[in-house]
Order: sequence, then structure tokens, then C-alpha cells
Amino acid sequence: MNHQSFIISPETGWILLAVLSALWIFLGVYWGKKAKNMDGFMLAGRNVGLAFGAATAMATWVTSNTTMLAPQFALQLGIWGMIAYSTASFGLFLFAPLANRIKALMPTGYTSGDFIRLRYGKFTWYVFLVISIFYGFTWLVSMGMAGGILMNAIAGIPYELGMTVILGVCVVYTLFGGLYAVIGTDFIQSLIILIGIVVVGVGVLTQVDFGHIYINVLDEKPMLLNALMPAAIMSVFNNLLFGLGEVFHSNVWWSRAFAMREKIGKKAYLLSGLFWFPVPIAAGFIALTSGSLGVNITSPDMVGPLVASHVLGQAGAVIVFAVFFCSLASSIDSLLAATSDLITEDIYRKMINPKAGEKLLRKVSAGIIIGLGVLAWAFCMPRIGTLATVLFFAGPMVGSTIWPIVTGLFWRKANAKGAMLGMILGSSIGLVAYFQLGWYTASLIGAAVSMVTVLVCTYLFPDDFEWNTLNESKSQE
Amino acid sequence: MNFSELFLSVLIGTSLLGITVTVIALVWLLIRDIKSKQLW
Repeated sequence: MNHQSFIISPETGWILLAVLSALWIFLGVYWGKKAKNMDGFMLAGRNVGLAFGAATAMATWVTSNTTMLAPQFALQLGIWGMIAYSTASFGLFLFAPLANRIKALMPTGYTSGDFIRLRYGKFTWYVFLVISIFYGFTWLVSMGMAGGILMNAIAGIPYELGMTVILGVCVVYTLFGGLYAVIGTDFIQSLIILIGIVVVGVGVLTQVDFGHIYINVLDEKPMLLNALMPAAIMSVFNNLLFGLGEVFHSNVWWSRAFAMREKIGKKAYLLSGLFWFPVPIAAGFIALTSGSLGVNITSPDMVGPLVASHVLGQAGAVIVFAVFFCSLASSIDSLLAATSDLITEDIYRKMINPKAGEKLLRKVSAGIIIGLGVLAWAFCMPRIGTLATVLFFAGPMVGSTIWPIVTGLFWRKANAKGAMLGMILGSSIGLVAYFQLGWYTASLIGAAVSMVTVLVCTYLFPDDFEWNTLNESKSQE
Repeated sequence: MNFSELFLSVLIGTSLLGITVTVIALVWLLIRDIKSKQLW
């Protein structure tokens, strides 16, 4: 990359990185003092209100993939691409009724793994943990990579150093503050992200009008305006199902459902979906203006930062930097906390040491957060593939979990055979589709295969599940 | 068949307006939760 493409000097970039890092670590340590026990550390005391609940769900879903991939989608799939990315908000909308149900059925639950174990038994639980941890880790790696790419694109900070600092900062404040730190910082980060996106969007419109943008796209890349582009329309359904699968199965969202005050979950997730919906469209729009603005796109996943920096220049570079740092941090911290919870609760406490006390669990949890950070760092070091390649590989796996989760929460007749086979067949056939047909079909096929399997098994081998089994505090009495 | 310029401008304008409203709503919810001591 030549030096001209950096919008701020590496020195300024390092200063901004240091200031933001210090802020998140300070807040993490400060809020972390509220975490007196494991309920506090893992679930922020199970008493989170609507403001923090809605903001944390939205901020976690606004990842660097949203601010970087949505423009990439727009550049490759046009207007349908932007809308397709926005359909991921349906994951939040549709998780809303599930959130209240989860809290009601499992008032003392900790993870999504707890639900699968109690609802479907050990073997399905093992399959689920493989999918869920693989997905969480893939997402974490894609975030770490994005951090390195962004720091390099915006400030010329070497990829390895930028990625290391971002991962390191998130590890430190998650380590000290647990979910209190994650949720508190998410609120501030969500405000910075949203204000930044509006500033960039309005900045673009002050330099070039809609008519000019439209005619430029029509002349240069007319297929981006095509309302009947088959791959783009397919990507709408694929993204919708990928979003559903991601939210429904991931402990990132379950831990928030457990953390929110009673009856707050539904409202918080509905609001977060509503808040999130316009973000990819506004971010994707930036890419469509690249031609009108004469911005040279060196790599598809850098189109957002390049256009934003071109429009805002030096004065706005600080905002761009902060927006991307926040979108990364709000997701990395959540992934570290939720994946660590899953490993601590489901693997260490349930499989290895059921008698472990709170102090030991806290130590184990801290070790896992550090371990996850180091492992993600090792995978991020060689910059592998584009962000889309890394992220969508997990699509069919998470897509295959939608039906086992939903039917397991609402149907007594849903059974372990259907859930396990649904996940295995959906993931396997979805991955074949990923390689043979294209990434934009994988989640769709994975979810469809899983749906048919779950429905057929429910019809053939109906269970009669007792809901009280899910409440471990009751079942242990 | 192409999306029209009007559709694009309405889509983008609504999105930017929606995000602005979101910021206001989040701050309002925060103040409400602090006042009612239901932040967390």
C-alpha cells in the first residue's frame, strides 16, 4: 500500500489507539468492581435494564463486519446487497420472544449450552458445543483480522501491531470487568458508531448528490442497480438465515437474555433489531459513492474506510478511526466473554470439575479469556482470505441450529434425534453447498436440511418434554 | 429492471434519519433507566 492512502499518520493513529484503549480499560476495571461473584462477572448480576440491554445487543451486532462487509456487499451485489445485509436484523427481531421464554424457563441458566444439554442430552450438546465454539472463534478471528486491516488502512499501523493491540485491549478489559464491562462499554461504543455513520453519510451527501451517484453507478456498474440480480436476491435469504442462526444459537445473545431483568429481553431485542436495521444500508451506501467521488478501491473489504476517509479528510479521520475501533471492540469483548462462559460453564464446570467453587471458576474463566485472545492472535497473524470468506464458512453450521433451538424452546415433541441429526446433516450438506455452489447458498441449504430433519424426526419420534427440567434450581431441589 | 433514483434516495435518507433517531432514543432510555434506578 502506498503512503498516500493513509488518512492519518501512524503517530496520530497510535495516539488515538492509546487514548481509546486507556478509556476502555479504565471503564472495564471501574465497572468490573461491581462483579462480586460469578453471576456478576458472567451475567452482570442478571438485572440489566432496557437502555443497556438494547444498546449492547445492537452494538454487538454492529461489528466491523457491518461497517466493512456491508460496503463490500453493496459494491459486489448492489442495492440488494445492502438490503441483504440489513436482513441480519431479523435475527434480533425474532430472538425477542425467545429471550423472554429463555429467562422464564431457565432463571438460573448461564449459557446456550446449558439449554441444549438439559433439553436434548449429552451427545447433541457435544455437537452443539463444537459448532458454537467454532463459530465464536471464527467470528473472533475475523474481528481480529479486521482490526489489523483497518489500522493499517487508516493510519498505516502495521497489520500485526494493530491487530495485537486491539485484541490485547479487549482481553484486558473483559478480564477485569466481565459482562459488566462489556455491556457498559457497548453503550458508549454504540453511540460513537451511530453518530460516526451519520456524520460520514451526511458528509458524502454534502460532496455529491443522489442524482450524480445514481447516474455514475448506472454508467459504470449498472448491475448494482439491478432489481432482479439472482445472486443478490439469494444473498437476502442467505443472510437472513445466517443472522437467525448466529443469534439463535450463540451464547453472545443467550448470555444477554440471562443477564437482562425479567421481561426486559423481548423489548430490548425488538428495539435493538429496529436500531440495527438501517446501519448496513447507510454503511453500504458509502461504497456506491466511491465511483462518483473518484476513490480508488484497493481491496473490496476496505471500501468503507477509504470512502469515509476521502470524504472526511484529516478533520474527520479521528471519527472514522473511533467508529471502527468501537465496532471492533464491541464485538470482540462480547465474543471473549460469551465464548469463555461457554467453555468455563459447559466444558470445565459440567465436564471436568463439577465441584469447582466460585474463586476457582473465576480463575479458570480469566485463563480462558487470555487463552482465547492468544489463540485468536495466532490465527490472525497470517492474514487469511477476505473477511467474507472467513465469516460465511461458519454460515451453514449456525444455520443448522435454528430449528433445534426454536422447536426445543416451544415444542414438547421436539427430540434429541432430530436436533442432533439436523445439526450434523445441515452443517455437512451446507458446507458442500458452500464449496460447490457458493457462499450465498450455504446457510440457506444448511437451515433447510436441518428444518426437514427436525420436522421429520419430531413427527416420527415425538418426545414429551417436561419444561421444569430446564430450571436447574428447581430440578436440584 | 433497475431500482429507481427515488427508491435509492428514500432508502438512504430514511436510514440516516433512523440512525439519528436511534441515538436520541438510546440517550432517552439511559436517562429514564438512571432516574428509575433500573440501569442494572
